[in-house]
Amino acid sequence: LQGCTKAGVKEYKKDLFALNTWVNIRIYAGKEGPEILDKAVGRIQEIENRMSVTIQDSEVSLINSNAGKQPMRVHDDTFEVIEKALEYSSLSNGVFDITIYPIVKLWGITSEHPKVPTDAEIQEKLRFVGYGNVILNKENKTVYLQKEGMGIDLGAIAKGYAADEVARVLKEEGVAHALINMGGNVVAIGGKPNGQPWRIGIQDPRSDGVQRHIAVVEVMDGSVVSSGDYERYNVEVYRKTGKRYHHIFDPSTGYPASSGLMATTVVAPYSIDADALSTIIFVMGPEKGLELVNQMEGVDAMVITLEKKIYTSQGFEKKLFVTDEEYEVQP
Amino acid sequence: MKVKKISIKAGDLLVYLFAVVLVMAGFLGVYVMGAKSDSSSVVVEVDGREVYSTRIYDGMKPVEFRVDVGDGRHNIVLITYEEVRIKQADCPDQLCVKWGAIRYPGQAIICLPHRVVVKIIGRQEESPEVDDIAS
Repeated sequence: LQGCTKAGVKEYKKDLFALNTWVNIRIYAGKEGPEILDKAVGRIQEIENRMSVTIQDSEVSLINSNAGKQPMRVHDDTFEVIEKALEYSSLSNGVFDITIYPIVKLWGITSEHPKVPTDAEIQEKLRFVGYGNVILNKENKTVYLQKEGMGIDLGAIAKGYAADEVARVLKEEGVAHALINMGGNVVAIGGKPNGQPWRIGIQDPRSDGVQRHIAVVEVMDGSVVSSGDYERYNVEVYRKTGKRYHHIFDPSTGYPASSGLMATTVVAPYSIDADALSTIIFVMGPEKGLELVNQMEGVDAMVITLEKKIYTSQGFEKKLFVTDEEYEVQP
Repeated sequence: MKVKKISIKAGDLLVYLFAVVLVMAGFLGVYVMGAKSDSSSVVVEVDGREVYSTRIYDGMKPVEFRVDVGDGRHNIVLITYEEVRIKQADCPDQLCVKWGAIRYPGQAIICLPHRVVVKIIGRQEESPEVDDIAS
């Protein structure tokens, strides 16, 4: 069957900085394409203004500055994302925890002046980490952090949510073929206009920053998200010592997670799930992480160990095309 | 105020006409060559605002463009016929420098801390190996 491209349908693109990352949107639409893209961008900025921890008057910042003081009423968007995050916290027994923010701030991996804190400093901040101290009130749509000094950071889930919301907006506008990339979180609407699936590359975690893939997955309607120690890390320390202090923290230790992995990739219908799960698997490690995914319907995952070995969830090895022979898929 | 009369001699007119024809031919030549070769250009943006752009063509001299992002912060972009890269920058993560070279329309180098994008614009190749990368 030939993929049908309606007459007058063209490719329209938009890129921008948002949610502390680089966002790309590519859609196929009629002459209303630019207006559709504007709507998508508007939605991203709305989400950013509510959920960014680096925007001083965002809802998340207000929740944080009112920790130990009072519950804060938030928009449905913010409430939904925090609720989802807490679901993943209990599903993962605290491996996924948005209250990691005091630790994130202490290390400052993505900040101007990253540092390697002392163990005492880490222990001091760890006292404020614990998703059990986030109190949600569903009726009033309020969020309360029970201890002063606590803070939340939606960085491991908000990009996924935003990507899903962009997809929703685009579909509402009748877009049937689109590719959204939100800082490496990829969401596909439909397949390519010619009817073929989108081909999504999996980033080489040891390319030293160069954009190159080591494997390809084909996707129609769905999301692909990768996480790893290569994305953001303390470059200065790495240069001097070869030690990679990266941005994915283990809430049980307060240190960057070291579960023997350098990267994880999750394919799921929704990007919010793929986003959270790619982090969870990275912290949990290959065995527990893939076991978790195997219990889930419609979710696939792969991990790359520090020895460059690839392990996949059940059946995913058949959908994965490895393009770099340095990386081997293990049975 | 006195107005000086301008008189044009026949010989001068011929010279002017010749010049006009030359200029037009020049434009035409560039246009035809541009259409024939894979005419692409490089665009540099800071926070979504275009600050520099240049066409890439065979035989061009390498161009170095310094992107000033305020507070003395900068990225230096090196543009040659073969490739585009960020040669040096004073951003904290240095990821844009490590990004390496880009060569094809549709590719871009991003410097998140400085909100700088360097992209190649032009006709995209028929079928790239992948449509996007999950990173």
